[in-house]
Amino acid sequence: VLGELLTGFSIIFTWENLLIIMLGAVVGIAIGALPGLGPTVGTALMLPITFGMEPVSAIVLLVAVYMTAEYGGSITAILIATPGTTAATATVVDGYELTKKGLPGKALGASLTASTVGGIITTFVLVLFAVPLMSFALKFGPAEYFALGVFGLSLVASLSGKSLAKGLLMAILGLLIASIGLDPLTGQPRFTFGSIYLYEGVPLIAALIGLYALSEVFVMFLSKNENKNKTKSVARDYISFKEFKGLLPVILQSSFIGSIVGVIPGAGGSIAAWLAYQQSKRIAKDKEEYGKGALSGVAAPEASNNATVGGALIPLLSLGIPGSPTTAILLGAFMLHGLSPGVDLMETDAEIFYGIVVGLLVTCIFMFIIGYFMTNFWVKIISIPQSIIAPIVFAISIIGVFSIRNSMFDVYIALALGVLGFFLRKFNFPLAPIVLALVLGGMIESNLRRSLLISEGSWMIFLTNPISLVLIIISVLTFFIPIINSFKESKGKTQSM
Amino acid sequence: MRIGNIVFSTFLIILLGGAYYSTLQLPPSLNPNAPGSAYAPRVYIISGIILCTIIIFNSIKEKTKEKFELNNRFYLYVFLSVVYFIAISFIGYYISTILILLSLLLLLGMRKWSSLLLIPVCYSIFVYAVFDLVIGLPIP
Repeated sequence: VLGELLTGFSIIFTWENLLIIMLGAVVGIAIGALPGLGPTVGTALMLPITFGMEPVSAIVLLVAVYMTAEYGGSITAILIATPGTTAATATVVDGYELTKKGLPGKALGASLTASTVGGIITTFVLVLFAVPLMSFALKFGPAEYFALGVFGLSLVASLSGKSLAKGLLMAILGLLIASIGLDPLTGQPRFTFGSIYLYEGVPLIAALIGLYALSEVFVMFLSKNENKNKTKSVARDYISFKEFKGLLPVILQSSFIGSIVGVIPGAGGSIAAWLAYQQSKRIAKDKEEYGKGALSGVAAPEASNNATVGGALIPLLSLGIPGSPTTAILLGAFMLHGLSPGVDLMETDAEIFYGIVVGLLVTCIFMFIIGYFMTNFWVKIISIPQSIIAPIVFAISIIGVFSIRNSMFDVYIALALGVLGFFLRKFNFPLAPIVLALVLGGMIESNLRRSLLISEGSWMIFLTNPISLVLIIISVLTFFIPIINSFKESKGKTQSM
Repeated sequence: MRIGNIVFSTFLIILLGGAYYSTLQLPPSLNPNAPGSAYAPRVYIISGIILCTIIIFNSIKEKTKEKFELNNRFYLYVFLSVVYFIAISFIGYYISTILILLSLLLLLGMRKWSSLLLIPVCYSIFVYAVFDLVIGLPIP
């Protein structure tokens, strides 16, 4: 591993790659700071810029945007009590209290330090777990891959929000969209309406940009709450070494919580941040200050949400399973650059894996430096009105979609899905299940049919195979546990009323 | 009653019905032991119709009445987007983009002439520099 890591260092430590990571860090923090544009939209918008880059540089750029956007979300959370990303919601509680006390610099310092340490720790967790998991995945055949796909889909229950039926319907819609194009086994065209553009299916990136970026742009177009944040400059009164030492146990604990939660597909930074916030109250030195402006209350969620990045990359890099919309875009980027995450990545492109690992470490360092020295630049960024941001995001989305296949047809698809995404948002249908199903649909169907061909039509192949059996049991538990929990919660509420 | 959910789910049922009809034209599997091309889409479609029906019933049962209002400007933005895409094929990417950005900025209330001029032009220079010069992407 050490030798491979050294190769990773030699790949990343070139002027070109260091500049790419720096660009990723600046864009990522800015996108994270802007409310409405999180890591998903950020990585989707940056994807076209990666054309022409070496595969490792392209992936490292997107991972840098992903990692730094998680920190960027805390800037608005701290300064104007509006989380830039959902993962920064918990940061508002104590972060904004510190701003009200006249200590925004301290809050930003705690957030930046915690995010950096969280990012570094999760990178080591990634190396520690992804490699053994890749070796394990060598044993996988069609039945196991089908069960893995089903496991990925079973997370729909936790991504469904208030209505499970709506979440499931969105997953079904995603699976149907994924079945458009040539049948993976027989080559028979399905739902193509005679259009050759649809033979390869609905392009994933166009679909994701449409569903996430364009639908958000439509929301921004119609939103009346114009940005009137005229935040003053922030003094760089950074946290002292003594304060850092006091925060360290909380940061370490939260980093591990984030890394573990990140591995669980569907859980995401928001859950990790709240969990870390709650858990940090037990060990924080300033626990009496929680809710009134505790530095630990800022450090815990921020260390945790950045730590989810490495965790989320574990199933993506080792098994090729994305657990969130952002990792789905990363999967799309891998495919676009001719790479397939999973066992093949380690067998044929191990240097890319280690390049990503080293790239993550360098990203954390750049995030710290850029975050520290450009504090007042972020303050200016968040003052840009939505009437400027929305048209620019719209235009970047369009050129981004076009550039993937040089096709205007893809642009129309993105617009159609953008309109669909807008209505889905309006009627409170969750978007994440569509994305998950869209990514996993092809894998589930082709491996189901291959397995049934092998077993001559017997469905017992999924239960007699130990790995697939375990995965199916985990899937059933993953699907039903959130349902049982929410049922218990609602029962508890009605009893207490 | 949630009107939006009912309308949307009904629309989806019709769409799913059409998709089911389209699967009838797919040939059956050549191997009797394995499902054919139509198998998975049909499972999805039937599940989708059942789920839409559940959502419609739940929405009818809902005690709170939810109004469905959509700002007419939404259609204007969608219309402008389509016009923009068509214009790209006729007058080229850069001119269309400058015009659409200008229109969007005006519609969103921007009245400062400097911003109205600078934003579309700077954006076009950015696209030219990054996509045309650096990446070498054929801009439409």
